[in-house]
Amino acid sequence: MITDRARRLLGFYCALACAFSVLPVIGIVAESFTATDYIVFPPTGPSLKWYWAILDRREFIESAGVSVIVACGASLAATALGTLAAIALVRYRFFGRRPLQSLFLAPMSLPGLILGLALLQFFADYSLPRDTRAMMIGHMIITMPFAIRFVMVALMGVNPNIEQAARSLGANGWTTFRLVTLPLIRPGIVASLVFTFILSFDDVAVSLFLSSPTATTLPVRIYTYIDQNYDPLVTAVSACVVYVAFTALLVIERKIGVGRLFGLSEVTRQTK
Amino acid sequence: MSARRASVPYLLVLPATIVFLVFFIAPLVTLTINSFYDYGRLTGIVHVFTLKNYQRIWLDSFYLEIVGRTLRLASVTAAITILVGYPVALYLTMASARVRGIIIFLVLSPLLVSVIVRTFGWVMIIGPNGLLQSLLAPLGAEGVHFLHTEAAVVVGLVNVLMPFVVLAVVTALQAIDPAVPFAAASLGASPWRVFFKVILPLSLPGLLAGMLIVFSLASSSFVTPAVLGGSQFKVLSTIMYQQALILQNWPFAAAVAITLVLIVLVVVTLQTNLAERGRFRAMFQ
Amino acid sequence: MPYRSAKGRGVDVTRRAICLATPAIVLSGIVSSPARAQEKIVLASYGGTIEQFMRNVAIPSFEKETGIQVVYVVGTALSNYSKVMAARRNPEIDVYWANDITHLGGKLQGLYEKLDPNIVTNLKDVMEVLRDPDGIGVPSNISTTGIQYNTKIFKEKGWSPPTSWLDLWDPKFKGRVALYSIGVLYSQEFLGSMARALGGSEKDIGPAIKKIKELRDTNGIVAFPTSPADMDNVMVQEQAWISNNGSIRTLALKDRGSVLEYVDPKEGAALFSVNFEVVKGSRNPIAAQKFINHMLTADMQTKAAAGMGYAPVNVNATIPEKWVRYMPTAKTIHSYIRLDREVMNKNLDQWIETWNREIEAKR
Repeated sequence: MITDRARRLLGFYCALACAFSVLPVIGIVAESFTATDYIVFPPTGPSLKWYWAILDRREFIESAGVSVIVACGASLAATALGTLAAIALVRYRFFGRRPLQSLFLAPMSLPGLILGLALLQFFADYSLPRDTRAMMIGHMIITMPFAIRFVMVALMGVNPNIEQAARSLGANGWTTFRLVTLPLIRPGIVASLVFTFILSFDDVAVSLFLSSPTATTLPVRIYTYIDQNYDPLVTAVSACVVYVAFTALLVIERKIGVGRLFGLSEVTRQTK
Repeated sequence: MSARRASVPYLLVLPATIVFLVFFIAPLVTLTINSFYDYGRLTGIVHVFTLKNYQRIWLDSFYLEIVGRTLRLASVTAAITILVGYPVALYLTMASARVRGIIIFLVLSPLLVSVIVRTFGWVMIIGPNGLLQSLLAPLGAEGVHFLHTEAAVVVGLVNVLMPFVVLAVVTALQAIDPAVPFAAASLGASPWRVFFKVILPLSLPGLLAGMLIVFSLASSSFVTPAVLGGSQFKVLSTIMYQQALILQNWPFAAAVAITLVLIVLVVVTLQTNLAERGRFRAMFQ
Repeated sequence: MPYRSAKGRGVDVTRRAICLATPAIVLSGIVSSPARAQEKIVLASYGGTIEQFMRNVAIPSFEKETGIQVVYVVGTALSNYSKVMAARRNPEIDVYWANDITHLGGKLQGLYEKLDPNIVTNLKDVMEVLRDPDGIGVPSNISTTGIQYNTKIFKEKGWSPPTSWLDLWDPKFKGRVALYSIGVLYSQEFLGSMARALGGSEKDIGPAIKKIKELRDTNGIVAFPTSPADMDNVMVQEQAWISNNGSIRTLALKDRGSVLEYVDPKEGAALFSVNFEVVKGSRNPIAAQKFINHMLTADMQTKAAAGMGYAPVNVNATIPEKWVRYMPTAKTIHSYIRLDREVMNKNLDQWIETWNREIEAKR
């Protein structure tokens, strides 16, 4: 239906678009191995000296720690609370279900920057400190919609009759959940844990406002650094962020596939 | 027994609801209230109701220009991202399974990398001693300062937001019953006509959804305009940051934030309404 | 899906959660334990060459002497000021080191503590004219804002060095002038100096703004750097040949063999000080004051003059021979312009707004 030539042209364009898509990330990783003392393209080397240089900079290591801790906390909290909420939203009909669902999904439509500013002013007004706990809360809010969505989708894929069968065999609610439902929605929970982790780890918008001198996440640290400096050190740090993302990607790919993660079910071939 | 069962859903949603009320709704309400307060360097935040902040944004030509620039940046980015991303989505529907997997991976995986890293990657590409300069040097076009221009910001935003368009359009394209374009072709329509008269209109909901997502993300984007646009490139998000974190004028920053949210809300609502009333309204039902 | 032991799966998820939580707990232990083990203060100040000096010279010697760890937080004077303001009820910063405008602003807002002369024993050696009358904070170093230019280019073109602020308007510098963005102190000093140079004062910057706008329209401003490091780049890469800048920037680069030179304009160079403050509510006020005292010792002041290019305030410190002409002393300090900090603090927001709107807005 479409000419061969047109198809090849489209394919070529697509290749260019894909290259464009990954260009900055590849560039960062490539540059992080440069042997020069300043950023130049193409990089010379390869050399690991800038990775070793990170170890001298306590503040980057600390920020990496802060990012990981906050991401773990936010991810666990968002998934735990989100799973509970998802069960209620999918398996039960109750007054206020629709509005509650809109409420829980609302942070997806709100720019993170706005929420960050709101939380900053809120915490200051109530004399609450800006520390890792505050950041965990902020990250939990912005990641919960995703957690809820993943678990809801997983739950909707489970035949409620299975749970009914378990119940009629004498299992109570909690046992049914633990031994029957939970294992069946495991992919959804794993997706939620990994995705909310990486979302929190990568976050800049909320973290910009909630970062304090003693608790700064890695992306914010990178941003403030490049505001004042321009050297390959921050390239190496950025490359580390890429490696974390890549690890998450591999986990996701093995468990449920990258396309599925973003809502793309099996893309069927439509035109020949 | 039935009363206990009836309370189960409420108990399940209770933790999340409390968290949301305290740390999502309450802060936003506080933010809105704060936007009506005044601020002075010597007085601090003055808790007196005033419309001063909003008047400053909408009646002062300096800030009005910034609002315009934000809208312009978001619209241009949305338009270009659609043009760049649509063909990719189209090709995805006609590629082999293996190629499809590769494209999905290359296009979607950057979404898992922090935006600061991706934007910094662009700084390295178009900045001093970067890829662009080393490509242009043999042509003698040195000293070209692409960094810190609006165009650089657009390129960065298109790069970061392209996956969203591809996702939205692919979802819409997949929903098209393949029998329809096939029927059109068998009735004698050329491939171009099939595309423009059948496929494109049928994918309009996805296209529009993608455009709206890109528009709202681009208008609230901070890192890319700040880093690629430089300190002189002022948009609402950078103004908000400056006012809140450098000048400590929290009420004004709050007003800018609320303005941003309202603008995006208005545009999204307008678009959706237009879509549902326009020529292609059948597509959106 | 193939049937698998449901029980195994249930435990698996719990195990997964524990696996995620454990590294988090261990990491949080590692990251926070140094804090518990030793006394620590948080110092907020500038980046670039100042940060390097602090990290390489001042902080290690302090840590060795007292065993108190110093965490260095980088930012501009204004961005660090807002960090102090934002966390007023839960101070995160112990020592705030910035300029004399933020000193006055914060003092009026009650952000800083009074220093105890029994801990900061070197207070008595600080130049009297600079000390705060109420004993809040203390100036630690002084410097001036003037004209920076590229000697190599000037020599090539056969130009004589600039002598007046008005030289910036000389058409021969078309497309080669850089001015700091208004957020940086040097720009604020420049604006005030121009107001005075045109016969007025910092109370009314209207004429100065008009004149600078003229500069933008005729010679064009090639860049508005937002930080000293930024300006360094612009001047070193020869994007600009002449700019407004602080003397310490030139001295820092001179050490690296740069061709950049600084000169006081004939209308008078504006003098500013950088001040140490102990943030009110700090959890380590004594350690903070010990640190400030350390920076005020004649020895450290001499090292700072040589290492950072900041003139000392301690009357017993010595200035490196090569830089005598750049550094104000107790004897020469009255020949410099000291802009009215009260006026500047009060009007800072308007200055920033007016500058952004009239000069930096793209037309």
